[in-house]
Amino acid sequence: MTMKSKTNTIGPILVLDRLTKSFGGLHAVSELSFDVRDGEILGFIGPNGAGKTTVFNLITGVYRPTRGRVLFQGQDISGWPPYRVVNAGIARTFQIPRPFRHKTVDQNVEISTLPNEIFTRYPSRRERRERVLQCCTRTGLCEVCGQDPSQCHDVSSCACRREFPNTLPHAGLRKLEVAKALATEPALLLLDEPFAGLTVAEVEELSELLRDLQREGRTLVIVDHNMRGLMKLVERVVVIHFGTKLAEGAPGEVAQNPVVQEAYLAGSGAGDETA
Amino acid sequence: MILHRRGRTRSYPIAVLLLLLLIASALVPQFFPKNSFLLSVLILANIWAILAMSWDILSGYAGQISFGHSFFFGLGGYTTAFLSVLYGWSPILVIALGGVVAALGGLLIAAPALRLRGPYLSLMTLVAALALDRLLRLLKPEIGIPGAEGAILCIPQCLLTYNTALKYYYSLGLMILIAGALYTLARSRIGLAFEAIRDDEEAAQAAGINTAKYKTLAFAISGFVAGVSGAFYVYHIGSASPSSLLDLEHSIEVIVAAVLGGMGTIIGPIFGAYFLVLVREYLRFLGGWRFFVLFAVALLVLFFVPRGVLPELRLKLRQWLQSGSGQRRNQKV
Amino acid sequence: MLILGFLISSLYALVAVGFTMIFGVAGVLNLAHGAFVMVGAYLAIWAFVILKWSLPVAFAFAILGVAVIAPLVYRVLIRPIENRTVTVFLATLLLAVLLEQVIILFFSAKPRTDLPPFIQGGFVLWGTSIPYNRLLAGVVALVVIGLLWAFVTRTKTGKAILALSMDRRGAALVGIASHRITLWVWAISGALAAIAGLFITSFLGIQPFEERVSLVIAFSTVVLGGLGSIPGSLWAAFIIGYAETIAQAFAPEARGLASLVILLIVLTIRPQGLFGRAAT
Ligand SMILES: Nc1ncnc2c1ncn2[C@@H]1O[C@H](COP(=O)(O)OP(=O)(O)OP(=O)(O)O)[C@@H](O)[C@H]1O
Ligand SMILES: [Mg+2]
Repeated sequence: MTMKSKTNTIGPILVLDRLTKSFGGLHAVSELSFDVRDGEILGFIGPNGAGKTTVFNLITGVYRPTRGRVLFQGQDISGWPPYRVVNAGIARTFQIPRPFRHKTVDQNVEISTLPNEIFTRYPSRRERRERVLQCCTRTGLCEVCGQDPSQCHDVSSCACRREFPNTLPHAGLRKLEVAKALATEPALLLLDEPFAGLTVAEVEELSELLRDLQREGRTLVIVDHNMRGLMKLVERVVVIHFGTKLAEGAPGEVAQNPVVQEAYLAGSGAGDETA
Repeated sequence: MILHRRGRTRSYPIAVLLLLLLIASALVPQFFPKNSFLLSVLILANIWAILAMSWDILSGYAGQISFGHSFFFGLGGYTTAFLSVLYGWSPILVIALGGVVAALGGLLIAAPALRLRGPYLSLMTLVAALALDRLLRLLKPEIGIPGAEGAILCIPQCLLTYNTALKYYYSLGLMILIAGALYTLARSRIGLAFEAIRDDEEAAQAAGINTAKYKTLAFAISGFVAGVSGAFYVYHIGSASPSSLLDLEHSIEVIVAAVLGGMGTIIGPIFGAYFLVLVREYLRFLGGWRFFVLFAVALLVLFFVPRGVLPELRLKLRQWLQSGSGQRRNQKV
Repeated sequence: MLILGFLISSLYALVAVGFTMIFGVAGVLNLAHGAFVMVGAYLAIWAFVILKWSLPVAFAFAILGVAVIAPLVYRVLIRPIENRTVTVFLATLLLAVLLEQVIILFFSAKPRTDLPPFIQGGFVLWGTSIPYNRLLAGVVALVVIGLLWAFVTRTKTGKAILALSMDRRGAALVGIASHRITLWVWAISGALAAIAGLFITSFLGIQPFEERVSLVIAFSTVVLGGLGSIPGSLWAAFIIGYAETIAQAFAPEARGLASLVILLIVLTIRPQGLFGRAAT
């Protein structure tokens, strides 16, 4: 697999610069600044309603920032439409899986490989199908669809061609989300609660895949409430609360931080999972 | 398990059925040479089939539910009437230009429509159709029929042929040509992008799809095809008027046809349109009841066979064949 | 004209509020709402002209009738397909044209003007003659809206409705039983539509296709006010009402046109309306 844009510049791949988003009177994100280093796995955490998903939406162009900028590989991408952000090399998954309901699993992934030019031969159909197959195999979707991945040589014979998203188990939907994101060939992958609802074994399996992706040179930002799973995987953590940054540092450090502990205890729901 | 050879695109039984129907429809003038009413009705059915398919590519595939498809129908029809009366160009050129003008109309609607979703978008298309209707009534074109608001008679100029059987073949050919083209488009990567937008626009964007561009394309294509059907309609009836081209009823009828036959299948709406036109024209003795029956049937289909009749039939047929071959295999064991 | 505009506006407000409530609370864009207006009018005509009931009884019958039919429509037709938005959208459209056909079958497509004014006579104010019936319509509409407002702000069911219209998920979290409330909302919405239908008919007469005009007006009002916002649609009703009155003063056949123009402008410039949340 090749990546869309490979930079030689050292330094952050993504910079958030005093990013702010207000919904009416509610400041979902305010004056948030942090960097994502090229090639790292960053944990991005905060209690429920802290603004994590909103930050993802701001980066990917779903929302336009009220103030502030987003720089990707040194380029100001704030206000770009989502498809341009994706083509530049940023992909995201959704907190609640959003499959294309009426399309088979392999077509769900194929949608991520579609070019935006109406008349073009690139990427060719074969190339796209290969990419789909690769994404389905390595995310484990083939097994989910009931096929031995070693038997999967061609999309046309893959079980993913028969299954529809509504027949997949929850873990399968999560894998589909990752496969869809991966098929856009991102340099930076934003994962919104990829572990939610997975068993310990499934979390382990997914973590292995994510580490693989990092080894290929991709950068990952992961939002999750499953601290046990997340902290093992990430090298660095950024914590936000009420849309502002609370702490930043190594997982161990951050977990000891009294301000962070208080925020999580005050916040509901996620508190018990930190303990 | 040999089942996996049966990919999602293969449905031989339906293909065979379609071929048979095609042959049958090609033979209709041979068997009923005297029945020009039947042929005339079938011409209408072909026109309505084209219109319903054009609705399906925009609404069934790209998910942009149009309530005002008569807008494109009317644009195509009026362009045809004007051009044929004023310049007397050849029908092929005039019909194609009717499509082009309607496609431009599609682009015109797409511009504001890109910012709108769901009901707002449908409303926008409805308003476009109503506005065009009022506009044409106000304009009172000079070549128009005196007294009839906005109507244009083009009977010697836009007469395709006096031979109804020939006209029937033209309409059938055009319908099949368009069905083939739209079916291919729908199965291509462009159709897949349309469907992604229909299923979840935001997720489609997250997959890197330029949804604005594809939606605009869908409007243009749909407009073109609907315009062609409007153009052919004017060639069929020999006049253009707001009440014959821009009637809100047409917009509702195409939706009914598509819902009956199966939205998002291209081929289904053809059957829906045939059913609709046959009921409408042949059950005239029922008066208003036939519309009641049509709408009620459409509502029931929407409710109980939401996929539409054709896809449901295909599924049943496939299950039936599958269970048949399964039994045979079991017997061998 | 000032007063007539106000009186008409209050009727539009009745139609629009019902429409917006169904959207806000049930998430359904009810394209059959115009048909409810029409059904109300025809029920009254049926009861009064054919069954020869007295006018107040006929009116009450019509209002109750629609208030029963509307929740029935929800329960039988909409609820089983509730989570398929496009299907619901098309179903309400088909229901609307189906109801049109039913009315045509029973009453023919000819306009009916035989629903008499509730009270005869009128008076002249500043050079405009104002029939008592129109005054009554305005008063009734205002009283009904006032009662509705009291209902949604004072009673438990009403508060639940308001909560649901503002945030479905939030309301579910605090344990509001949305199903029962939704039935209520359809009933209220139907009753409001019927009341408006009765008065509109008694001034202008009615014909089956009239429901499309009602729907366009309701839709314009609701879009202008912001889909789902009850106060928004009240304000918008008065804007649309005046626009319609003024337009009709110049050209009587322009009924429905003024609201179309406003609708077009709103859709292009500010689709979420004056008071609306962004639509998704
Ligand atoms: N489109 C919107 N309109 C209004 N408010 C919004 C919108 N999106 C998010 N918010 C609000 O912004 C705040 C942040 O929400 P967000 O979804 O980003 O939180 P989160 O950190 O992802 O929470 P969770 O862990 O529960 O997913 C919340 O208070 C939410 O209600
Ligand atoms: Mg979130």
